[in-house]
Amino acid sequence: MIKLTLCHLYPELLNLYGDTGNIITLVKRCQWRGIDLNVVQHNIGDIGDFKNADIFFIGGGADSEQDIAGHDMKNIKSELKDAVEEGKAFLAICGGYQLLGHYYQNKDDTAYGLGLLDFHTEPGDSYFVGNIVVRTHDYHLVGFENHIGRTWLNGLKPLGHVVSGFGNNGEDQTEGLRYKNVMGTYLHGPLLPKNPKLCDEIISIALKNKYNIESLEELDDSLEIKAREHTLRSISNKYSSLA
Amino acid sequence: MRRILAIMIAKITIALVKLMGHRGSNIGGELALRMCSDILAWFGSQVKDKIIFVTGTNGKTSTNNMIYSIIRESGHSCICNRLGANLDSGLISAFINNSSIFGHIDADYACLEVDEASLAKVMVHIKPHIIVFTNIFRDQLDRYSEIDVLLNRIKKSLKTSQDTVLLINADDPSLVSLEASLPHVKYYYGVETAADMGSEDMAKDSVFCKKCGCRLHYDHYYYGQLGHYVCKKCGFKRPIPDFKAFIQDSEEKRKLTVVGKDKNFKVEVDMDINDTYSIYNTLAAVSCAALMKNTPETVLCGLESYRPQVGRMEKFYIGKPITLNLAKNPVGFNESMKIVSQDENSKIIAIGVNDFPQDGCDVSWLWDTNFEILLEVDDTIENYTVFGRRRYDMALRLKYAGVDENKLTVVDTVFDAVDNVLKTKSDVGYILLNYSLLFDTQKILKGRNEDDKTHPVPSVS
Repeated sequence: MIKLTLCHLYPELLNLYGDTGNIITLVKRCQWRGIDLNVVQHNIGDIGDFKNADIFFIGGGADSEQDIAGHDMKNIKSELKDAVEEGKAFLAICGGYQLLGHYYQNKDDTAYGLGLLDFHTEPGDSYFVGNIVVRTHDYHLVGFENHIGRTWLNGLKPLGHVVSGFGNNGEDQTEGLRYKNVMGTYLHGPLLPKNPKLCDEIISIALKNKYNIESLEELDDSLEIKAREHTLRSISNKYSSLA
Repeated sequence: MRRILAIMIAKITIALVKLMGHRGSNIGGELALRMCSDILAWFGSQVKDKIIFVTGTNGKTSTNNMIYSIIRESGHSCICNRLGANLDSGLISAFINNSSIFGHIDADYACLEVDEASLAKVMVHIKPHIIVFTNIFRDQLDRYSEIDVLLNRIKKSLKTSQDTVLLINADDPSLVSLEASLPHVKYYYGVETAADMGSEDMAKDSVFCKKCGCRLHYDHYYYGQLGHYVCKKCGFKRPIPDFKAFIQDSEEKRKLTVVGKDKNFKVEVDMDINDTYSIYNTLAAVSCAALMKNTPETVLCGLESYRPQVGRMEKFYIGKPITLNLAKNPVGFNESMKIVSQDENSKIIAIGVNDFPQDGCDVSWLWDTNFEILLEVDDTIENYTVFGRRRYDMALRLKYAGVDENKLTVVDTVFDAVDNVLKTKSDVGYILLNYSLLFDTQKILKGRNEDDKTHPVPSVS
């Protein structure tokens, strides 16, 4: 049986906005294909042993909890760096995404960022809240964003470009970040249930890395597509064809 | 003069809206507020004795209405927003409904449920004598941002009213951490018995100490983050309650005993609804009534005359027993589904999710909700029907919980949802939904209810 391992970083702290839904989706879409996806947790104080991890996931949390996680993450920085450079799949959402760069909490209180990748986040004056549509290399992402941070990529590649919504900073049309197989993004909702193509891309990366398998069995995504259509239409009729 | 005009116009609007068959909980108040910004303060100043606020995430409406019933039982007049319209406009509407055309009210008390995020706005105008805090759970995050932000906002507004007495749920570490640093007179209520409330939900919001960031240790755990907790690092712990609740379970019944600190106050209540909320709601209401020096007899009579409001486990009979329950967030949904999963009858379950501002525009909380619990009784569930504006999000959630797509029906309207519940062959039906779907659904159910048959409900064990 094909077996993959997902390492969920700090699930007890970083669990805002239905992030668990991303894990559920990864597990189910593997299960429906006969792939066993084992989810392990990495919590505060745990040793950074990621040899068996094929997929990493880190979500967002409240500021105080993000701080605690950020400080603990220093201890596993070099192990994470290795995993990133090896090309392991890494999905980072919202606060978890910000933590990978140089991160600022607010104007008077500078908080810790891991600096794993060279980008940074500054506080804005208002929350970017609402539905968002993003064009990536070959599909569109649909999600919900809710963040006050403004992220600047300093030349790194974005995950995609904003079709509707705010994205990284509301100015340069970029959304998220893509470095090797690290995908950082502000999209939650959660992200993966309504974006099965992204979910499958993550699974594909892991299969290629571990088993050198190139193909992925198709699933019946008609309900997912209807859900995408429904959301896209609620943003604007002109987007419904992007489902 | 502007005030009188505002009230007259609001009263006419409320009457017109009601004529058209709507509830009009907010619109009259909104109009009045626009025409006269200090109208709430003016109404508040007319209340002769005390003003009580009830706030928190869950249980506001039930708790507030129990307090209202007890005050009425004590022979006093009281203004109350009974239907749960709890933004400033809703409060104003409650006053307008009870005022003369010139805006005069004749009330000894006002007990008002106040939206936790609107507390600051309302407290600019009214400084209540008592605020009852139920709990703070994750709810509608897009409006309240994060729990920390919400707590800070509440703290700020409390600082503007230092004579207010706070009545706090000792079992909720979020609330207790908030109040600890405030100079107010504080009373705590809490559940003492290590009763099994049967919760293994995923909605533990703040199991980390808000003071030092360490994980809280729990001796007992009720639901959400409620329980008996202590931080082993900094010593932050559950305060000893001034009003203690003891639970005694027998086969059919649950007896709740509330004892005051001075032991002179003791109330025994027979509980007939088996959800955990009722325990905390009743405890909060009884504690508040005790603070106001009501006798145990008055409290009991008040609870007796209290009737659960629209959509709180409301029962109908339309060819079969149908239960309607409002649930607004993971904790609420988990509690509702626990009741569904304990029912052995064959059933249809309809779940409605809207995303209007009063519901929360972000529905990602559906994924923090343990819908998987329904799969444990999947063989007794004939059909899962989803409706509301976010029906497809709900459908996806159920698909990924493991529900067979052949048993999943997505319908476009509330009417179709009720229709599907009625025409599906099953012993019973459950409809769980969030706020803005509640009244339309309830209206349809009420219209078709067979009154004489409301009672023969198969037992929900």
